[in-house]
Amino acid sequence: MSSRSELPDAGRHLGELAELHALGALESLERAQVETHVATCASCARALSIAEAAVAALDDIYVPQLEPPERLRSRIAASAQAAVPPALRRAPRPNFYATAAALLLAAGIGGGALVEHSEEIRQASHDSAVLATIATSHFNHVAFIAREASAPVSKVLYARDGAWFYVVIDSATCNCRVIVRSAAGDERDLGMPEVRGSTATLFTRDFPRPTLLKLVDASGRVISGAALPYPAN
Amino acid sequence: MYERLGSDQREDDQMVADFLAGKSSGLESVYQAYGKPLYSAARSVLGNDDDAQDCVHDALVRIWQRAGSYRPERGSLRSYLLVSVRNEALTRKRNAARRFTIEERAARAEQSKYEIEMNDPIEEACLRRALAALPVDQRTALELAYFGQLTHVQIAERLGVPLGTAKSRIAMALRKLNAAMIDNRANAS
Repeated sequence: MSSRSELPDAGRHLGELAELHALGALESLERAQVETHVATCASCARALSIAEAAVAALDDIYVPQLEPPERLRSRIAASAQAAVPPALRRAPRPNFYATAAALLLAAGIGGGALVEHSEEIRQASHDSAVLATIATSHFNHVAFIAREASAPVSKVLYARDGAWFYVVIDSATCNCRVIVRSAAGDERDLGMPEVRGSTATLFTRDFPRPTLLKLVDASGRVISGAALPYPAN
Repeated sequence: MYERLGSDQREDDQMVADFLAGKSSGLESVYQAYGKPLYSAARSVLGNDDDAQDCVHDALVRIWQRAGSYRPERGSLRSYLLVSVRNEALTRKRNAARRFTIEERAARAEQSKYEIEMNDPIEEACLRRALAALPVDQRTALELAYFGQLTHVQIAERLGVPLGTAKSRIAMALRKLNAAMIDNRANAS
């Protein structure tokens, strides 16, 4: 689209995009790219923080301060207690969006906005460790089967030896959690995927050879699932 | 020069450290400290309680789970969370079926922005003066972004100006507000 703003790249600073980002005047893809840029550019991170402080000051003045319901505190507390184990905590991966695009393209299953934007974000991002893991593996991919109409289109790429898997959800707003099940029937809640642009992704090597993945919504209802078959030894 | 505004100057370093370390107590402490402004920001954008709760919960937990998405050297956690929640709320609102036209939302914003009681009357007066002192074209662009919740592309279309002009007006307006707030603090100290 010709009206899309110019996005930062390795050789250009944010400029006005810092203020636009802080005010929420950018679309989600542009925001993701701003975040990618500030992850490696101290001067732009500082410019963004100044803009954020100004917007926070506006909020302090113009946003009516309402007491949040007790139910929200309870939800936060429950999430805090159901903390993701440290091994599963994800370091910032500003480049997963590009990784997802590249891999799904390679797998021939990319679609929609993910493919549309893959080229322009490829230059701005990389996640070498994860990309190397995936790119040097033999992997399969399967689609999640929706159980509810609200389920977003989702895929999982997974190593044929079960060493890792990578969930890609074609939605930034599904607000779902990923539940993984082993062959022995053990289940673990891996938390919410990380939103990047218009997708959400989750990569882990900490749950070997999963046999089933489920996406559950905020109420705990299973909205889609994917069985992961493995080749016979 | 980098300046922190308002409550940001009193941020609890231990709370921030616990939050960044992924401690349960860190998440709960941050919510205790900032839950009210975060919920209020989401509520003001989304317009209903359930959506605002979902927005705050999901954004806050996601940031807490994603170690390193925020770094203290980039600015205050409070400002970062406020902007993150506001952006999350705007994304949800833009992705949902729009219940209000642009004109209706702008009218609501126009009505509400003068009804709000402010916590710090000195800061409020300073900010109102700074807003009033802005050139009309910059103030209009800023109001459409902040109160009208429009993207810069929508603002350019609405104002009938090139995209670059809209971006410049918005950015310049916010920079002037920030400069005014910093001057106000410097004069007060």
